[in-house]
Amino acid sequence: MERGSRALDAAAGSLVGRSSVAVSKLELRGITREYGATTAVRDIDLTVAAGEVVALLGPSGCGKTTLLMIVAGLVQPTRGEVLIDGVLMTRVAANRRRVGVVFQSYALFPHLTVRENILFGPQNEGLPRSEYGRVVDEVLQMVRLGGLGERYPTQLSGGQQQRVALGRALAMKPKLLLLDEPFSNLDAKVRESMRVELAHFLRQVGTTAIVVTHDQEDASHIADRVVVMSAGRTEQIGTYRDLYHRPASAFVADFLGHSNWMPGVLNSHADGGGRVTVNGELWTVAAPTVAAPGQAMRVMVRRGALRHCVVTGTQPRGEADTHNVLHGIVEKTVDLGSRTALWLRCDDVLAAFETSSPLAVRRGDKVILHLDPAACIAFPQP
Amino acid sequence: MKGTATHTGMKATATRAGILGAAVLLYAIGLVAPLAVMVTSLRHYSALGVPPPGLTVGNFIEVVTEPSYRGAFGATVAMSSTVVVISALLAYPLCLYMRRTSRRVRSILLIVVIAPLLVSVVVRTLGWQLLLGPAGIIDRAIGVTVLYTNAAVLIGLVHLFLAHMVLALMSVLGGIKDDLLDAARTLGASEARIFRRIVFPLSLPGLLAGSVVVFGASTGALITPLFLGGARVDLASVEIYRAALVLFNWPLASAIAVCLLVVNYGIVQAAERLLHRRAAWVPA
Amino acid sequence: MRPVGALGVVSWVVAFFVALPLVVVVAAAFTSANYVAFPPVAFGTRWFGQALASPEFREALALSLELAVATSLIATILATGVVWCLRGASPRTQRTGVAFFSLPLMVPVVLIALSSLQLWASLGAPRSMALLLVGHLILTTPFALRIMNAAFSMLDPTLEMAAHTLGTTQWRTFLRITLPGVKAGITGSLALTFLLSFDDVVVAVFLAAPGVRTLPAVIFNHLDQSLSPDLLAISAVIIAISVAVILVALRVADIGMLYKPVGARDALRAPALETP
Repeated sequence: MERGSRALDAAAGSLVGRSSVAVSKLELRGITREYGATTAVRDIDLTVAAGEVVALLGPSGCGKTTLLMIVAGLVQPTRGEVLIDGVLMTRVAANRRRVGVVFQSYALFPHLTVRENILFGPQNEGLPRSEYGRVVDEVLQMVRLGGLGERYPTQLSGGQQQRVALGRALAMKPKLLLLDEPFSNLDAKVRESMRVELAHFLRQVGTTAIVVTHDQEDASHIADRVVVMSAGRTEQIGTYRDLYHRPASAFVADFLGHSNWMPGVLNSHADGGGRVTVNGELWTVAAPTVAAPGQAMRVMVRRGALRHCVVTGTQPRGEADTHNVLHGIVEKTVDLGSRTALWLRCDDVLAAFETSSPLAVRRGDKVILHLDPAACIAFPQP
Repeated sequence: MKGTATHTGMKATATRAGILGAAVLLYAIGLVAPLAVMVTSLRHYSALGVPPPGLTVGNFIEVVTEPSYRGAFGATVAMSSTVVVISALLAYPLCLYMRRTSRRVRSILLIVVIAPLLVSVVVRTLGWQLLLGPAGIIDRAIGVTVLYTNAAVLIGLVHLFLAHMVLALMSVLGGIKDDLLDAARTLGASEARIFRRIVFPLSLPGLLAGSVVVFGASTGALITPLFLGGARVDLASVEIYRAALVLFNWPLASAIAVCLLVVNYGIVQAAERLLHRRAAWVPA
Repeated sequence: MRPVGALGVVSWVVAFFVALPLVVVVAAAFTSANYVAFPPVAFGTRWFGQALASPEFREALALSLELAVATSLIATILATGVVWCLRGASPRTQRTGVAFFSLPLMVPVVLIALSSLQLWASLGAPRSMALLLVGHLILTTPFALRIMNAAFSMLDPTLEMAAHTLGTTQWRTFLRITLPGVKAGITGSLALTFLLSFDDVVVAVFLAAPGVRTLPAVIFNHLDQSLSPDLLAISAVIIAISVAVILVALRVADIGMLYKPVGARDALRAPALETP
């Protein structure tokens, strides 16, 4: 559908490499932004290394876009400092920061051609007229929009507009590149391919980048590190892998991946792990938060935790001892082609699981599920 | 999308015909017929008794050749153009400020600027006479009686029609989304440059619409030039008034009016053509 | 928000300039002296009393009010009807319709007034309020049309379709779904057309006759004579009525909403930058 979806990929051999963009380090110290009684962003500390791509991930209203705008200089923090390459930038106006921004709406100037849009930034820095052609060609090559220089933004497709926005932001060799929800305007299929392309593109260009998104898959594909935010604070910072397998809080655990939540009671706790009674069975779980025995817990179980499913009464397979066991009644199974989805009702909870092995169960069967303990994480009930 | 399903059936058609018919009838007797009567501009005028029958273009010739009338037309175009320019110069900062302030300030400013529009022009003229007249504040302050000069008429007209320009600019400036301006800032543009390269070009359709309204209204304005200009200021609308209600030479008055209409229309068309050539991206 | 700055200063100065003549008139009207001066020489309200006592003033006020009310009602109803009729038509028809009914805006008022005068004179029709009404309707209907057009365009057509599927008649749908939806437009249209008619001078002067004189026409007649404070009092009354109508209209329907800039960020609405 989107012919250009491979375009960014092909930037591999292109002209712009590390030497052409300034690559800077960003440091945020104690950034807070209040609007009257509301606090949008609360005491944020973050360091982004030169050339690193960081994702600000969180639900709407968590403050991620506000934080991005603070880095760009379009919003002033109530407290805290912004440092780029060690230089204090907090009071520096947005138009002197040399931070490139790709807005969610792309914000292309409708009355200027693609060429004029791209030249806008360099012109503000006094680019001599003789250089116009070279710069435009370079940028158009970089984003693979050669030949479209004389078009107006309204004459371009969504994906093309995004590439113009990218090119325009990069044309003046910014120290950082900020992207606000780069994929929110695209439909699912295009989104997937664009994710990969953008990730590749950012690595090729090599600039320090911050991407704001509410979609965890965006974050997982693009970012070197992910900052999960909620209600104005950072919940956890780390690689996607870390956050997925070792979430520090229930919020992070729930936000990444697809999970079920089951109530349980803590038996014992030691060294970041513990034993929890769930639905009558004793489970081995990860438990990042310290709690006392007897504490009511919420246990997160990943959808992919299912290892075996056996009908009650038939012989269980081996390895039963190392798994967490869950009894229930099959509510529904759905064949998704390469995977099978299973809905299990146990007490009041309806839990969803996915597995790539075929399941020989039907609706109404009483079954025992064997779950991978590494995919079960318990948190105290708030 | 095509009309909603509620407009079906005989009864609906009859109602629609009735309403439209009434409106058209109103316009026929209120606008079309009177304008048709403008054909009197082609008739003779006689100060005494019944005018001779037949048509003549004598009135038009008089309008076009008489230096006082030509002067009046020239002055009208000059005055109206100046009113447009000054209104624009005042309206831009006002609209830009309103755009970025809180809702309450915006409402207050809007009411203040528009409300006088809705008070009769004679009242406003009276106020200006008080202010600009021989015993007025301005005179006492700087010793110059502004009343009965071109400047007084200019002030009065700008005061009258500023609101039209503000309204026209407001909607177009309001349509410029903030992230366009933010994008320009992140690309290193100063506020002045943002205005020059982004805001102003994008506001051109509104500026044109406002200018057309203000220009047209200025050329047709009568009360202000009449009472703030006095004998020395001579504009086309005043000439129409004099010819019609002072000299009772209706054919002549009609001729002047028709010429005014033609001039107005011509200038508006020229301006629109100019805009569409300069700003090809504006949807026609 | 940012401090007031140069833009703000200019804006408030302009606003001051706009309000100035009206303030001056009202202030000067409260004088007990025999002549007009600003600032007023001696405080008093006797000219108001004098104006109220004058039959010329009372007749003119009554005529102006009747005329304005009639104009606003008829113009608004007509405009609403026309817009409602045009809704089902093709865009081309709609544009032609709106353009036709907006014609008076292109014609200088002076011309409309003069030509109407000639038409009625040549038909031998005696000057009456009816002629003024026609003239005022021509002046105001285009404005009413613009407002109702805007108001109708903000209506959600699916609401009426929903009502239709629920079995209501057209008339009922119009009354209970459509009209309330355009309430702000109707209020604005009534207010604006009332004021345009109440304020009109040119048409009123051209079509004036003994017994058919509006308030502004009365002032017009007295303007070139030397000013006397009763003019000020009458003017102050006009200002008061106009302001009252505006304030009532604003209260009834949040007209300010019609002019809210679309893309501008409202800084006090936090956190406005967050993506929804």
